[in-house]
Amino acid sequence: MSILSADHLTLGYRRGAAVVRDLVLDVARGEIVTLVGPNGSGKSTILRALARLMRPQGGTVYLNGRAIHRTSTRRVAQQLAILPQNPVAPDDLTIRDLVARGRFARQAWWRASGTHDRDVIAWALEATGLIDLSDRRLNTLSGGERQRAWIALALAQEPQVLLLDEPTTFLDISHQLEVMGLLQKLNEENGLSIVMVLHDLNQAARFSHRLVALRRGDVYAAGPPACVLTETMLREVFQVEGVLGRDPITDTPIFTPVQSVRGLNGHRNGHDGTG
Amino acid sequence: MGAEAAVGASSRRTSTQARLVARLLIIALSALLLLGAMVVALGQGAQDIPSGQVIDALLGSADVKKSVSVIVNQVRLPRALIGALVGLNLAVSGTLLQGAVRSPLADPYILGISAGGGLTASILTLQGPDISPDLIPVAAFAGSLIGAVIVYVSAWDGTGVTATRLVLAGVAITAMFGAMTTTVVVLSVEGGGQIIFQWLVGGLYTVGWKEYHLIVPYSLAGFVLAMVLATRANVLALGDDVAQGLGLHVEWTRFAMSAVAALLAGSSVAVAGLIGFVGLLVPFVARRLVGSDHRFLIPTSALLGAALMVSADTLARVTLPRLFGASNVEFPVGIVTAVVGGPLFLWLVRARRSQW
Repeated sequence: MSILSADHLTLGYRRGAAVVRDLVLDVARGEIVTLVGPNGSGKSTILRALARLMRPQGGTVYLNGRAIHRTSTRRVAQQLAILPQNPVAPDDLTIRDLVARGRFARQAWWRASGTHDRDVIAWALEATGLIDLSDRRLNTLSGGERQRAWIALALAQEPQVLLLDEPTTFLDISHQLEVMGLLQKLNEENGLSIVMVLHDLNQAARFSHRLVALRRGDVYAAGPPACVLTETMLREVFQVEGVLGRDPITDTPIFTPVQSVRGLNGHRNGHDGTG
Repeated sequence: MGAEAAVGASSRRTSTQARLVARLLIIALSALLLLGAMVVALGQGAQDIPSGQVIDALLGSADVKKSVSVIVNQVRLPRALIGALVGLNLAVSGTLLQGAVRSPLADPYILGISAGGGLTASILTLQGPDISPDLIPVAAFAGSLIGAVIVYVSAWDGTGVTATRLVLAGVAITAMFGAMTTTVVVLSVEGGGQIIFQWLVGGLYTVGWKEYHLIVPYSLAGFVLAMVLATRANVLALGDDVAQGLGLHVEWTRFAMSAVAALLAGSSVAVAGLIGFVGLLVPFVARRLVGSDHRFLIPTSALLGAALMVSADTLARVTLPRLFGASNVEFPVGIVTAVVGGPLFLWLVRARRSQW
């Protein structure tokens, strides 16, 4: 059974036209699925709907077989965690303070943290390699460390599926690899299912089991990276002419962009909405 | 390796514990500050009473002169207690609202509380000079809550209330109601204008045990509810999306925090009029002292707000008589908090680190 699925979802913002139409998407247990597409293709909107952060205009999201909008916020948070694009926190928080708040959905309001909470927090810090930094304030961390701290917060929820919106966008290349490697490890060792939005197509191909390419709110193609990342797809979805090769290390497809063909083939698909 | 890990763990525990001890210490010191302010408030005034006699009077000792006992127990004690509760209410209300809209610039009055209370109280005075003073607190309390509801409803967009919309609605409604209040005050110069003008500036001249009984249930309930909401406020501080992802019902939490803040500030407006800056300044100072964790921030704000208000009221009572020998003239305490609080706030803002 799929852990998270979208059944004919139509998504949009108030009074606007639908951003996403009739989306069908299944995420299997233990799978890494990455949404790719140009700006305005509806990637972040889909992620928000999958996390129950927005109500669909039509269709249903199922989490472990239950309609997510008929499930309480708290019950959802016990199964699913989401890391939005640019999270902010009061800057006097230490990593441990932040991660401890991940236990919110699993604590009764009248009860202080128990042994199990402390164990999970310690595990989340350990898994993200932050145990020695746990008393550092967030504003003293590097970008990569801070992103790992937010991932640790999500892990403290003990979720089965983790959604991430562009987790590497503001990081330099070494921190990007650090974060992607961490996600891969969590997937392999803990069976965490992951759905994310990435801008870097080569990273998406390298770290995902399945890619979903979106064009103006529709699924253009979905499947293993080698099937989705094609020159035709790049031209028709991203309006980029390029050359495909093979990653010498992982043997996944790797793409070298050559030139933009925006406007040359009649598509007007650009900065016309949210990412 | 094992030993190193153990040392690491123990030093971590030490630093977490040290922070906890520091925060509890600050709360204890704030309580002492309040106690000190109360002692000064009971002793100082048109007639200075030595602290030994103050204590005797409080204990109901027979050695104390009747007049001293009346001054301490019937005049200064209720006034000091009300001052403390008004300060507590405004400071906790400010803390909750700043948490609800995630901005240090929100004060209790941003929700339209001062504007609503001011408007209804001033409308009362249109009835002429014979208005019953008992009616003003009731009208002001009702007006404060109505103002808060109007602001909240204006900010509602069908699915929820965002922090930005709440602040903008508050500013707009406050400006509108403020203009209406001014109009009413101008029209009623012949009638109750003087009374309402004093009330608008904020003061504790006339308060006694009756007003104390009016405000105390709101202060107690408001403080307890604020503490119950503290963990939720901490989750909300991580932003709406993260908070909801962590399992918080964001809309409900923001509404609950605003509602408790409105009750606290509204009951304070009812007994003391419009006292500015306390709800803005105190949470800011408290956040500098104990950080952003609401479980510590709320009690610190409560105690510091109470201490500040009691001290400001003592200052308001004694300054004019001491300077000019006029025994029954005093500053409205709202002017003291604005004159002292304004520059202090400016200085703090300039000196602040990157907190929020």
